[in-house]
Amino acid sequence: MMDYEPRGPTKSMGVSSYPVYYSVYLLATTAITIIVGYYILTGQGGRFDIGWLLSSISPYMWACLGIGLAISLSVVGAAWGILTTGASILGGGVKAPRIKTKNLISIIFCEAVAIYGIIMAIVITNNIGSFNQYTDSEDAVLKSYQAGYKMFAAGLTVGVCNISCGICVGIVGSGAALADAQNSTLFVKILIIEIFGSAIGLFGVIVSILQIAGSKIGTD
Amino acid sequence: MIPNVKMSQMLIFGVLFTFFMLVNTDKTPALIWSPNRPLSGLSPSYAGETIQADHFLDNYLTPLTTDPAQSLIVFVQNKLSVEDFTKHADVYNPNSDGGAFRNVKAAMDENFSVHLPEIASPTSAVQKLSTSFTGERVTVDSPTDLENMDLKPGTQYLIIISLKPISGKDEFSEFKMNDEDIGKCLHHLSRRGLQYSAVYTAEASQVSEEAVHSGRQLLAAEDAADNTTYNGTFYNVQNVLMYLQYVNLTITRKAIGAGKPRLETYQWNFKTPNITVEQCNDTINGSLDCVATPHGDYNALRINMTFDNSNGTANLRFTIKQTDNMGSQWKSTRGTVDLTPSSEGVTLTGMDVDYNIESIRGFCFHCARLYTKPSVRNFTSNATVYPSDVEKITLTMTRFQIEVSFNTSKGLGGRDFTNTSIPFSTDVWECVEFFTVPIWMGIISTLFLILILFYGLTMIANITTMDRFDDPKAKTITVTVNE
Repeated sequence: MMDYEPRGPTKSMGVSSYPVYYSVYLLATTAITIIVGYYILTGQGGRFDIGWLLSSISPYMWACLGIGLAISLSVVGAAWGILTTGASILGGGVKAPRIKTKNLISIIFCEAVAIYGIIMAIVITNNIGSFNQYTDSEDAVLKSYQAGYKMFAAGLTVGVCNISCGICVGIVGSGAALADAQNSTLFVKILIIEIFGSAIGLFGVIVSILQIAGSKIGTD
Repeated sequence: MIPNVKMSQMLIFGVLFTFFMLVNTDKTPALIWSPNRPLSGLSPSYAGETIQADHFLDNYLTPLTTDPAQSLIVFVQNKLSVEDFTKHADVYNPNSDGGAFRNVKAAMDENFSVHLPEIASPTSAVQKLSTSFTGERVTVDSPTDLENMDLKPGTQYLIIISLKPISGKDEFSEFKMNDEDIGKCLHHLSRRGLQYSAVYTAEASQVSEEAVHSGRQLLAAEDAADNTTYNGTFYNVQNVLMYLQYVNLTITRKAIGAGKPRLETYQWNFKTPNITVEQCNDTINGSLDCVATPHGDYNALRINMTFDNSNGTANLRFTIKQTDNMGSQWKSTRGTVDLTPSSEGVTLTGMDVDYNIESIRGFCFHCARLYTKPSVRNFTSNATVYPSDVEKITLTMTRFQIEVSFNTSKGLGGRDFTNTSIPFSTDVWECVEFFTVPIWMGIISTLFLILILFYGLTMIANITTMDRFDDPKAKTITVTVNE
């Protein structure tokens, strides 16, 4: 986040893009106002039914979104962490080559986050089966819908936990590498900070396993 | 990708092609031949021209029946199209004998013949001809029936032969079987010494999904004559306005062994149903307290419709309740369907259906196709069909519109339907939302991916050169490169 905070360009070049943003925003607001106004003023406000949408969406969509989020957010976190740490190790290693082997531990902590993500994705995938909404018993159909929501929640939990864990471990590892380059006695103590940072990723995995315990789409 | 063709042109072409293919399902070719009557008097059809049914009747069928010694034989299939000829008639072989259409090709080649590639609903023209035909009318199902019939040469006959339906599983052999039947019929007719002209045509160019029947369904359907003009009937029954065109009940059985699943379909129209509406009060313990005579003070309506035709009797029952005490919203609750077939078939008793009819005060409910899926889990079986044999049951109401009103006596709104000629309210609560759930699912997934894309593009757009340590006044850094 530090590197991507949008600052203005140091030199002003070309045409300002604010009129484009403004006109798109104005168009979108006008369109939404007209559509919403039509529905409310003709007494059809009840048509805007989020509950209907959330309860009608197929449980497969929820489950698969959960799986996708589990692995993708975890990988984003791991990648960000490795990016941050790796850049610092490489930069510091130019002047102090002794740091390079010891600091690979930080990279391994970041990678573990990605492994948590893929384990959870595979565990969630194994619970997807097939069900027939019209011929299965009502109990099985309700359980399948419930399982869909649980899988979405599990995937989201592990994904968001891992993305923050990965970024955290990455930034700490980056600091560790540069501190180690300056003074090699600092590294061992800094590793404790990284261990705490890594534990929070594990919390996400545990909660996510509790969420999908015993839930299954379908009866086979 | 074809070079030099723009993407937009391909897209427009694709859309138009699909549109025309969808619109063309009712247009079939017709082959006419006659061993003794020259057909040059019949005008040929121009390329791309679709002959309308009336034009087909006046210019092609009627001239074939003007001679009192000349009979007309019509072979009708459920499906025939030019593509079927292309696929199964061995057309790319110069020495071909016609592939699956051997007898038809021989008849067309050796006799006077005319081919018409596109006719819109030819079977309606055939039905009109059969109602106005002055000679003897014969309708048969198979060539063996024709052989057993006593046909006197010199009498004018109109023989309509329903060929076996093409179901799509093995089209080549099905066309071949029908072609052999045609050959047998022609042979039989020529043996009898009958002078005839023959027409080979079909109902549609593609089989619609649920219309594979066996036997005599093609021209003998009830109300076939006014199928094209019946649009539905409007009733005002005890302050409930209702409009409906058809009710279809389809029962799909599971495949038994290697056979394909068998379908039973029933269709009733809304011309003469038996409708009763009872005004009810919803009591505290959930039961309905209904009275047959209207008394004006009700918060639920029980509607009972009975449809009757030669295939069977169906009884649809549902209750419409207001969801709050003011009548501002009303919904249908779980209802039931009963079915009593008149010949063998599945008997349903008290099968649960969720009709999903709902609307708000001042609005009518309309659905072009109201699909409901009755629960297959319970119905009474007759001796041959069990609930585990049935895969699904679908109840479809075509062009259904209903309007009820509650609390008119308390003056809380709602319309007064005591005037029997009052029309529906102009505000309509449609059964299908503008964005259906699958559309929303697609939008959500796509939006999610687009958000990721935009985040990435934002990151790329914010790449700047590292200029924190640049000092234009200091010495430039030199890096020695060791080769």
